[in-house]
Amino acid sequence: MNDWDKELHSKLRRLPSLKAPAALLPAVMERLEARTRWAWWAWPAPARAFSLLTLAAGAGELPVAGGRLWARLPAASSSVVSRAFSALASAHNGVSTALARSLWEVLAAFAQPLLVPVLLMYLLCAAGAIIVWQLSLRPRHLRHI
Amino acid sequence: MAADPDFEEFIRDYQDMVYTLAARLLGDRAEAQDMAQEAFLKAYERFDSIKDSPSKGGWLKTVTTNLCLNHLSRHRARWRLFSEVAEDEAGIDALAGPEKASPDSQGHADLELALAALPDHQRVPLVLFHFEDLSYEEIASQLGAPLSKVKSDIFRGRGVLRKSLEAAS
Repeated sequence: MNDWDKELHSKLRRLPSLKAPAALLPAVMERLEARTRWAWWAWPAPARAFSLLTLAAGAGELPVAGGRLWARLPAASSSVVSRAFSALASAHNGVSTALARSLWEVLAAFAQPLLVPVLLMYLLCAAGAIIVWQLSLRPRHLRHI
Repeated sequence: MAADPDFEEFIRDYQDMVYTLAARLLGDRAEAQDMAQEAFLKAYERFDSIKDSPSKGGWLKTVTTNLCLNHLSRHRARWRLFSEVAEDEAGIDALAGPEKASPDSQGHADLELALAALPDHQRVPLVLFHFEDLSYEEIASQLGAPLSKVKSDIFRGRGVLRKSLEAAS
């Protein structure tokens, strides 16, 4: 750096900090509160219970699927792991079947008519998102890729 | 949880620093406010681990710098592309900015305005070099730009600042 550059450097370093706008702190706190409002622990109790049940049913399917897959492998069918999976699977099978059946009976009455419109809306949203991404959000030099 | 008084205090302590860095990197105060908000939201996610750390200010500066660079590359243009396109227009824009914005301002205000009027590809490396004490190599690595380009952008940025300040005085 020459003398002028050094002088500029010291001038820049002496610049005082800018004052943050008064709206910054309330804006951050508001966004945090909004985020908390949508957090799982802030959901209504029935919604939380339903989500837990769905999660448990989904997680319960894992050992069942694992057991079935394992049993199809010929060398492993008589192994300890296979027997453990089978026991776990049969125990879970009864519970999850009953749970799924009762959930389906409750939901089917009002969910079935909505299935097609919801699926169509989902496809429309996905198509719209792809179009918006291609046209405006994707960096220009990548658009040809 | 959101109204954590420690976190409010943390924002009060660091908001000027974060906002100043973002404003100087972006050259735009409205965008700087948005980036400052994002930086504090990120800080909140890790507040438990950083609140007692002596390097929380440095951590916050790094987060702010990364957010601003992402913002510049995502919302304005890719760094290199912008740099190449803007190269020819740099001098004119930078000289015109401060005079239009504040013809009577002196000293610090002149320098801030001249800095804000620099094109992104000159202002960002210049801010990282002079305010954040990053070396040319670190800046080149952070921006993903060639070392020679970073050096020439900083050199040209200083030249434009010099002309701006001479014109203002």
